Amino acid sequence: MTMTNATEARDIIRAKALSSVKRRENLSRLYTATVALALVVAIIPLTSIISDLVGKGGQFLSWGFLTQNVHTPGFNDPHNVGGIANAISGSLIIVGLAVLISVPVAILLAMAIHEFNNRIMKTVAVIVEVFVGLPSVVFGVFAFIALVVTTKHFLAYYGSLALCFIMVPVSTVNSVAALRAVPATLNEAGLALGSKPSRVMFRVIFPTALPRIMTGIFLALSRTVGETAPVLFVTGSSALVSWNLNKGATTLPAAIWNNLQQGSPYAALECWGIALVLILFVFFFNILGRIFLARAEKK
Amino acid sequence: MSTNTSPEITTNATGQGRKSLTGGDGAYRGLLSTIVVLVLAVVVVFVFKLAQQAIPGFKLAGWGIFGGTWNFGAGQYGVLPLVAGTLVTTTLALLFALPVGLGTALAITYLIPQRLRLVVTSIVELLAVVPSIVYGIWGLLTIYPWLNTTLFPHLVSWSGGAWPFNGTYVGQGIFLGAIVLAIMVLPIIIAVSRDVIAAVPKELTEGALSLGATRSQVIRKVVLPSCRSGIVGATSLAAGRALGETIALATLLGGITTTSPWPDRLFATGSTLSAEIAIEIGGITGPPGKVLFSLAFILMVIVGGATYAGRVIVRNAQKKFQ
Amino acid sequence: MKKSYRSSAVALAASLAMVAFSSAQAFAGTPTVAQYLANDNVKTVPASQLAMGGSSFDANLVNADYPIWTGQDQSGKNAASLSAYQSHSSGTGRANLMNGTYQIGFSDVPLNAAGQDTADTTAYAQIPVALGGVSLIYNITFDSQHVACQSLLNQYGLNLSGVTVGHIFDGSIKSWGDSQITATNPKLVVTVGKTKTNCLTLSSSETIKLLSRTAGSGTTFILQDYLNAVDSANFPYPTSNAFSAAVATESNSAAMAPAVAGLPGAFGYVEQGYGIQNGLKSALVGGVADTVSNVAADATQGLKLINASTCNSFSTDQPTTYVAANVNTQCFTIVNSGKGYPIAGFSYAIVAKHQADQATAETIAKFLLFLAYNGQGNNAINAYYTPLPAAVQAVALTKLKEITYSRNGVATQALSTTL
Repeated sequence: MTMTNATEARDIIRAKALSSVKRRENLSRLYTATVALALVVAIIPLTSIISDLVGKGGQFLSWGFLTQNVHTPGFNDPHNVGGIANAISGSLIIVGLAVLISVPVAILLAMAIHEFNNRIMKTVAVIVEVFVGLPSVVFGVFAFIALVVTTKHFLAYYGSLALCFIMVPVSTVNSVAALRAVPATLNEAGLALGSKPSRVMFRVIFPTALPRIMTGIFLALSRTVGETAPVLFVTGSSALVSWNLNKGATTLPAAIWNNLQQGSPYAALECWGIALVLILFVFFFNILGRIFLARAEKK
Repeated sequence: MSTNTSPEITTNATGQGRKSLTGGDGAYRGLLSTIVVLVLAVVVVFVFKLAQQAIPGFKLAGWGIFGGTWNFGAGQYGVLPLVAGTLVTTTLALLFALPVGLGTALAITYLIPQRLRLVVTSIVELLAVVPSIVYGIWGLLTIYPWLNTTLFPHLVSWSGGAWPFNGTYVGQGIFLGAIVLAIMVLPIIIAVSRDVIAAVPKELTEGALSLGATRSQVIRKVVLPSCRSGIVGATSLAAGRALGETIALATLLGGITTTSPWPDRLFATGSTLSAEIAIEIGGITGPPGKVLFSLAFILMVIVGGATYAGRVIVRNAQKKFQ
Repeated sequence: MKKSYRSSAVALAASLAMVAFSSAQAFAGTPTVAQYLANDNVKTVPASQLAMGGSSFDANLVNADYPIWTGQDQSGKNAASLSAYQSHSSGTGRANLMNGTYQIGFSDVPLNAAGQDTADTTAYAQIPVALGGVSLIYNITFDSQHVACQSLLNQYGLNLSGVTVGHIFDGSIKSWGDSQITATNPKLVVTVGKTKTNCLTLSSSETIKLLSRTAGSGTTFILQDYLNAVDSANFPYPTSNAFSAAVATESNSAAMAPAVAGLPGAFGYVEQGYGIQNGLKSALVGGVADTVSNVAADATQGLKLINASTCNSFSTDQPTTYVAANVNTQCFTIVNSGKGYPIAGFSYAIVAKHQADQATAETIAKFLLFLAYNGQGNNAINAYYTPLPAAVQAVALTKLKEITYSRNGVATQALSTTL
């Protein structure tokens, strides 16, 4: 073609390219705006909860709150709600026992799923996954029927047993994934050197997977500490600090629930204080887990 | 902290695959077998006990259990409104949480400056561990009045009372439940999406940028497609948490009433299978209480079926890649 | 002269002493009960902690008295003997009593009266422990144009006739501006333009949004017993089921009050204290407000009616098979007597008559004795309950004497026989 046509063609192409770039950049800005909007929409409720927790709950944080027992407020002293010492001790013993039982069971079960690959273990793995998805109220109902109604008592360790139903499946799933993440070469090398499988597992694979396993356990722990439904129906309650698993006990989530049952606005406000303490506990375990993970990974 | 994105543990990708242990490792094998037997025994007792209580409940409800009317006090035990409530609240929650969560994850990875990133991710992680009951009180004490005084009247006047904003509103209902559920699963989606997005190799994104793609094109055409399975994993985690939610929903949903027998409009009240168990748990040892065990049993079947179906899908998808 | 002064002074002193003595008696109950509770040194702790709970109706009263009872014994034995109150609903209290997980079940509904349980009532003692009013709480709002209406409503309160209450709960009255409601509120009137309009027609929350309790609620039962009296066509007999005209259900009183407070147009019902705690006003019924003294007037009149009826005793045993028409609510104390505030009722502690051992029987009997006697008075009034009338306390004592345990094969009364 002639020079003019080439110039025209070049201009047309350039114009098209420019407009395409403009279009794409406008689109990009639109997308950026949308993404930013999503962030804003997400941040609003999240900060609302945080401000409620810190603003409404923070006023309750005091040494007295942590060391006094619960007190049901009278109508002429509605602010006399006491503290949560009984709930803290209850949570510690109930969750503590649950952890003591769940962690070995979950780790050993994960080892079993990892080592064996027959029909039975495949079924077991399916069952574990199903239990991860079950609502916690089902476990609470089971514990009530199987433990409370048969023995006619509300005891703290029933709550621990119900919590195991939640902790074991979650920890098992995570531990299996952690064990699988260990390179198969390590295992093969160990076996090739003539070690027994148990030695390979306990000396090589398990220690390698341990950081991830611990992280998962702390995650499961943070969920378990906040569980209300399974514990509420089976542990009864205790207005005093008690370290006895063979009696009734109150956990922190149960204390929140009990406060809501009182119907007074101040008791409802105190719920935020209890929730804040609960979350600080959870965060404490979380940070512990991360320190553990970081130190293990340094090695 | 990385999270396990998939609950799938049965496909043995890199596992040992041993069918039995040989050599003098009897103690090890014995220990593991004992644990497996113990766990299976507990599971059997669990299923048996639930079934034992659920069967009288099914007998009491009869074929009416597949009916569409649920009124526990009056002896009507059709579970379909509860199943519908479960599905509707979860779906609405995911519809809200997925785009917002994904967008937030993208914003955190690509928009927010480095210094703020830690603050935002800490907030998100903190909220992932807030117990459900706290969400329940937040929903009831903060959101519920706001809905009744601000949002719902505006929606009604703006839409003129057309569906789905028709009928009376009470504040409590599937909308409140869905909103709070959405906020509950939002941290999960954000955390998992962030992990998955961050795992996209830098070469891919930088390569695309160097080819002249705009940022949004990079995200839409490069990042998101490679995160697809991770996002599906996040969705299933979120759905799992939403479906299993009990305590928060029990206080927020308002129950099945004559004015709202089905969750057919946004302002409807309702109930889910697990919330209904929690609400009526007081009468669980009485004669009609057996029906609650039937609900628990149905829940078990639904969750079991969904888990199994989910893994069949994943296995087929993996087969495609092989 | 001096002698007569002295004798009249003595007479005056004597009569003053008599007045003081009898008023002290009236205030503290029979001296023997108070002395018994104060002097009792035998407090063995049961082998395992006893559990109690149930109706949210008595929750506030028990929660006010339990700390005092556990504080009396400084070694903490009382707290170790009996755990704190678990507030759910009347249905839960009875159900858990039947299955043995609660040793004391609190319920506003006597056994078998609501068709939810089939218990052998001769094996249980039903002890009246609380008397309170059911407040009808409402949330009527006005927009900024009608601020005067808001202050009028705050000043005079909402007044409903009994028939109107019935029609609201059966769903035939749907809006606050209904003529039946405005007819009983002539004071809530403002002048709009040239016409006088009733404020209730100007409310920004026109529709009545009725809230109900879930099934099993004793508060519902007390209310329905009243509705049976004013609207028997729609409420042929009281039940503890949810109201079908309701737009939402709440699991207990503690949830009902905030729900009403947060929903313009809402109408609900709770035991008196919950409404006051949440800053809600309660409706006058037939011009009578729900106060401690008005409930007392209702109860006094109601007891006269019960004693005059064919019932042999207060809180008569109920038939073991439930037939709605056979449940004679007059026999077991729901009071809607025609005087005072009509929506009121008693609440019961239900226990098995025969207990396993001495420690259990004594703990239960003494705690309930404390609740029915020392726990009334100012403790009850401050929690917005009406103190039990003396006649009802006497009945409670009679019922408590039916609690026994086996000693050497003989059924022995848990409480001292000197009472």
